Amino acid sequence: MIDIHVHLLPHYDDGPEDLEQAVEMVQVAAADGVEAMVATPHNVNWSPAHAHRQAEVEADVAALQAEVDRRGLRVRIYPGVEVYIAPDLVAQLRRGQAFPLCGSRYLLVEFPFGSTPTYGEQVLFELQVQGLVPIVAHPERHAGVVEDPNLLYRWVGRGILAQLNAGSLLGQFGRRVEEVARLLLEHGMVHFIGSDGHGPRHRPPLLKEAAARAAGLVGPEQAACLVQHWPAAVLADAPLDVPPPRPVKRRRWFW
Amino acid sequence: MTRLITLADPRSPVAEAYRSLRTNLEFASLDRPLRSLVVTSPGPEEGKSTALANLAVVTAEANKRVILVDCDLRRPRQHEIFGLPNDQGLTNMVVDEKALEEPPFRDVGVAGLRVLTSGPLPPNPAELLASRRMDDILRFLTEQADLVLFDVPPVIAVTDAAILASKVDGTLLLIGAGSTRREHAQRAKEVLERVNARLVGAVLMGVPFDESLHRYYAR
Repeated sequence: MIDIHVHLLPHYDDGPEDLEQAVEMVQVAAADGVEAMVATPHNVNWSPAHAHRQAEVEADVAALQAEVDRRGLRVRIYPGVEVYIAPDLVAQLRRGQAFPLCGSRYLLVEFPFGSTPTYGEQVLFELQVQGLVPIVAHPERHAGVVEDPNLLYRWVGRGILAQLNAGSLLGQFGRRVEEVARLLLEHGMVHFIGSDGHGPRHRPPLLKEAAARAAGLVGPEQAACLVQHWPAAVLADAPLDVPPPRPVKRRRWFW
Repeated sequence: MTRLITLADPRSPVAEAYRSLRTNLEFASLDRPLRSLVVTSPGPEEGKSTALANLAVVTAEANKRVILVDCDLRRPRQHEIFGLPNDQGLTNMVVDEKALEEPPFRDVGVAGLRVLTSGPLPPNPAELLASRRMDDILRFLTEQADLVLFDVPPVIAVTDAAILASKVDGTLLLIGAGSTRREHAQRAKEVLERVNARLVGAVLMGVPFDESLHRYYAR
């Protein structure tokens, strides 16, 4: 399996505290059946002064890879970033404050949990015009999508992709998020399952149990696309031709 | 890629019907040349985009330089019909200042025909089509061809068709025989007239075919 969303680098965000914890995370992932991970630190606090962050991330990934190799773990690690949506995101990319997953066309984009900013859709479009394919991180955790899952349907219909958190599908963010995660999955609105792992013990980088849950909902072939084939296309910077999404027909009331 | 009948079976009566549509359009514009034409339908009729693609093919075959532009920024179809990628297209030209120098036209193996697919879909299609930048692009495209054909969304559902119809030389309305409701066709005409679109005619599609009239020309 391939994890395209994990906070694996120490000293960038609320991920592991040091290199040792990072290696522990890789160990946990390897034992779970993960063979490749894209390290995606948050860029939310990066300023124009962090224009060289891509080189730093790449260097830190290389250092972690060396340690992982030394310990005989068979996991490849790639550089990436979880980009926070911003009106000037295209300019941020030009300045190097944001960059796609491992040099591909795919950009992991995070929205604020509580609201959907008015400029969000326009920025996603601007990214697409630049030839990038936005991957919306954990839409199932966003208030706007929880209230109206078809918000994501409109985006995905325009060629935007989405990544589900493994933990969401397993109920780790509450019943409502779990239900939305299931809806999005069943309606073809999500294309990746990522761990969004933050540490070896608290929010560990696991995929297997979520993949099994997904297989139960949409079948093993589709589940393999979410954790293996489509993430592999991201690593290879290959185009992805995903099936069209289906709208959620009726509003579901949870309680 | 959809098999276009004008390419797959150019001698068929249907292909012949497209050629007579082409001739009728030329005739309709004798005193006022038709360099840019919006083709649309009242509602989401089957076959609007395919009919437009066929018209583009037969017009190019009459030694005209044709650009087919997919302005349906809601459900674009032309890239599917011609089997083209759609990562670059019209919307790139609107957003990217430099795209006028190297417009993302695609060749489709028909001499004289170039296709401009929709490009990435914007959240606000109507605003984009109404923009001043779009006017520049329309002018640019018209300079590049003898006829520019625009595929736009249905007239009644969204305002996109009316916006574009008001900016071009003519508008052609495709009506489905037995499928478009009479009042919808009338409503579409009203909407187009309200924006001073020049309605050059309507095409009735899917008319039951009377074989007896065509035997004389049979192969």
